[in-house]
Amino acid sequence: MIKRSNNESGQVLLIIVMILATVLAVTFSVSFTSQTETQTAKLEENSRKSLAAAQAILEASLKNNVGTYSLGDLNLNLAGFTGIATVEATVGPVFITPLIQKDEQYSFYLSQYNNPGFSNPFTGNVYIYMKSESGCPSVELTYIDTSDVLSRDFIDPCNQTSGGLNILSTQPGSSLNGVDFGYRITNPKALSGKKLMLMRVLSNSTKLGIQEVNGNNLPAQGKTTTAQAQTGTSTSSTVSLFQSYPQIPSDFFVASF
Amino acid sequence: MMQNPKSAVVMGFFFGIFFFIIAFFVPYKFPVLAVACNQSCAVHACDPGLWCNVPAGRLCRNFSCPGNPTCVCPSPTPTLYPTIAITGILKENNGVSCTNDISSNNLKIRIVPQNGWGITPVCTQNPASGNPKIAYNCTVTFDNQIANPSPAQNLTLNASAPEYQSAYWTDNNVCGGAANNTIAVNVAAPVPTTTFNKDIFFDLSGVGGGTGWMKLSNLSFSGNAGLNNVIPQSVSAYDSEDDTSRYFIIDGAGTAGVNSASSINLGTAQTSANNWSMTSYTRQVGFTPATFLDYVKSRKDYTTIADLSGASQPGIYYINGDLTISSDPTSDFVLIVNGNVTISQDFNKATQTTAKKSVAILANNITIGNNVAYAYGIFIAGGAFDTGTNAALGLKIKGNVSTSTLSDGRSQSNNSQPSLFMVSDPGAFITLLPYLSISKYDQTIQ
Repeated sequence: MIKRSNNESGQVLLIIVMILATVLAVTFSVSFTSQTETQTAKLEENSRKSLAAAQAILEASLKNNVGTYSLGDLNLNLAGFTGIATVEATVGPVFITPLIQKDEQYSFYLSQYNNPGFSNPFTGNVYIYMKSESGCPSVELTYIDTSDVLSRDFIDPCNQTSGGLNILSTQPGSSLNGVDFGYRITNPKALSGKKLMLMRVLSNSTKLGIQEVNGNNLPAQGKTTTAQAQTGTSTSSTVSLFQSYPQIPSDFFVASF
Repeated sequence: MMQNPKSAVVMGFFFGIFFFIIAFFVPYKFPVLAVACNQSCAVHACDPGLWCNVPAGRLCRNFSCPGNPTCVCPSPTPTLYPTIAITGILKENNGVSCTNDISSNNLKIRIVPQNGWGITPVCTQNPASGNPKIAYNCTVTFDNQIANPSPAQNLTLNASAPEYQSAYWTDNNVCGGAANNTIAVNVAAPVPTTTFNKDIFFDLSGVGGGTGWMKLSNLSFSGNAGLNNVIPQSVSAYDSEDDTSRYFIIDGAGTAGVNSASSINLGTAQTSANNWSMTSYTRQVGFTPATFLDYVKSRKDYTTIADLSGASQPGIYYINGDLTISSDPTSDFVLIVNGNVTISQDFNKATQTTAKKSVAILANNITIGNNVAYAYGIFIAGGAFDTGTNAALGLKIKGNVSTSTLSDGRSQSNNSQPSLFMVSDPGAFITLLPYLSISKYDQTIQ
């Protein structure tokens, strides 16, 4: 017969305690993970909702063409969400276009656009920068003055035309608002008395930069709508959309067949 | 003296044999030495009774000498025939009148004899290089001393210049006369005519119903393929908005844009005063009526109508189906037609009582009626733009044309004028900015 000593009962208790501790640790761990995932999911859901709400306000503000637009104006019955969109004209001494595809053009406004009229024509001088996606750029500039009279310039840094006269001279470009431009016109271009400059890209897709030489603001080129929406738990999303003023397709002034 | 008669007989016999050999064998075996039988024709005129030509040696030979008995006397060397000279100036025929000088990068002028044996024609141009070309000079020599050319010949002009559709002589150098590219000559006549004054007339491409040429004003050009538009040497203005410059895009004040195409043939003319010209250029087509319709449907308000009478207010209109336009617009509009458009009369022409409207028409194909002379608007065809056909009526487009294919059947009665004249009018179409334009977007999310 085996006789147990009294101090052996503590060993069992210790084992039981250890098992209980392990079970509790696992339970707490699972519970914590689940709670974290739940919170993350909740955050993602709120983020998606706030992003959707921000985009909804932005779309509504674009459609209604007003200075500010609130989420409440949408009547979507979104409890716990707030949001507002503000529309501002985009101005500054530097303007950089999106990448303009070959044979397309960008309409750069040299006067205040009043849809459809123009006022307050620009009086400054600008440098024009070019950065091609590949290869060498060539850009045709068509100016429409306040009397609707046309004139044109041509930029051809790599001499892709032969025998052309009065082509604007260029020099190596520089960085402008974080964009490294390969070329820049050498001499500032005076643009007073004009209301539009149509920049048609030939040869290769090109991004263009326009810089006012004295640091003064260029005319507004469109409006930036910034929409921000948030939930009650302070999850917020911000969407900014730059909408250019009306762009004239190159087919207006380029005969093609 | 010989004492022995027998010896004298023997010597006489041998002398006889010697003379016999000399008389009969030496001339036959050694004809060069036999001067009496053969004489040079140049020295000794042949007597038909005594002498004849030995064919192999071209010598006169005594009939009494042994040899060819059938020979005939040679003819004397003939007098050289006179050289024919054909000269004239080069003239451009525009269908109504002719002007001196032509312009060509590859002018070819030849005279082709009826029977060319022994005849050598040579033609030169004045100037030998460069333009304009002013005159030509051809000589035709008949070599009757070596060969035996026929002295009576028809000489035919064979002239061409790729910049012109035809080149020809006319009787009496009459401008507009019937082509007659042959002259008859006879250099053996008692008094032969050896100089001819024959101007060469070069028809512009539109003369006689061909396709004319075109000119742009205030526009740029982007070719879907090669541009083949030869501009004549003599240019007349289409109207008061045109001038007489030999440019594809007239450039009064630096308004002409870039001319880009896979290849460019303007004859000897150039694109514009600045000559911004890019060849080997492939256009990237991005804007079509279909893509614009998609954009309009997604971004703009538009109205569906049945015909042009429904476009009574400024705006964007849509027609599903073909459309024939036989009236002027009453409002500014952008019209998108899912079908073909035919314009059957002068369109949108300002009168004393009505102002022209700013109009843009986008359709699959656009056809201009044969008798339409004027259309004001922006015409964008995803397929073809057809100017109609008329041999004596030009077409003026005030606005612009953008199409995949241009079918130009126009020419002028006076083809020194362009048969298709396109003039940009930017001010009027700024009116359409809210309708025809698109916006560019740039979105950031935080």
